[in-house]
Amino acid sequence: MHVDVFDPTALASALERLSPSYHGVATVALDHTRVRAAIDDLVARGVHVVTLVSDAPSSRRAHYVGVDNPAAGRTAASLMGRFLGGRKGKVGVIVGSMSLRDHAERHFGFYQVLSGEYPDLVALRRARGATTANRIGR
Amino acid sequence: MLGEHSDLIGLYNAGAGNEGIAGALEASGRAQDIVWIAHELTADTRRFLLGGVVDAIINQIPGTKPAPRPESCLPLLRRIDQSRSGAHPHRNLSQRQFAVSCAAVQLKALASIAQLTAPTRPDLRTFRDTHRRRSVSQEKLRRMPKGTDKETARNSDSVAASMAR
Repeated sequence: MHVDVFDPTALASALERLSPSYHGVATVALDHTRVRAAIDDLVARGVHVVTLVSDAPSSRRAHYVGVDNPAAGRTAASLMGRFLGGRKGKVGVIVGSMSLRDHAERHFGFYQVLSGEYPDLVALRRARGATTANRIGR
Repeated sequence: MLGEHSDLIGLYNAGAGNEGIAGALEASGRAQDIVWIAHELTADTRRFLLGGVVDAIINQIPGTKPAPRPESCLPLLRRIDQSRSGAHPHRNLSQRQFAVSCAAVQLKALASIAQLTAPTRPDLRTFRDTHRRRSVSQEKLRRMPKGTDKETARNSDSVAASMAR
């Protein structure tokens, strides 16, 4: 089942409309009130829910399957600092959606290491949505 | 972003949409100057990696076994550093690009990427030449896994790092 990954209403509706015949659901979760409520409703009626790639930790989902995203962001910042090897300048940061916890956590980890360990590199305020060339090119 | 910040030297994309970014970077003529780090090794990002547009891809490969301890990356990192410093310039790492992974199972696949970059290209300079400005001391590389990648490695998150360009 495909749902727009950036649309919490669409994802919540899809979860709410799921056939009662399902015993388990795996979803790339948006960490959004409506999505959390839809997950909790599924769990309340006995459906086992796991989140994939992007988590909603305060929901009642059974497990999250995916990488440690803050660590991935820290790794990215560490590589950035090393590759730039002492240069000074600005670093752009792009996320799809801060409701997607994997993006938000990578963003957090990236800033944590870049600001803490590479003071010569200034991270710009995050830019949202890089699905087209326009935003980046401007 | 590129137009507003002429002094932009790095770009990190925590999300998707790498095709759009690659297009924008190439259109701006700054693809080879800006260090760009992104996520997910796909057919597209692999091509960007090999072309030197993207400099590192942080990959997640579901289904792989837990990665070995981060310390197991040290021999590879030391070899990279030796290659940079010219101690072993003719090892496999003297190519234009190479890949690093903390998960042994992924190392093989990524090593094959490195080998793919080996064929001669007219503009191919030695690894040492192309990376002089980005040289990283051995001491710094020793520090690399500490505190940065432990959780990443534990989660089988691999780092495909192409020290491109």
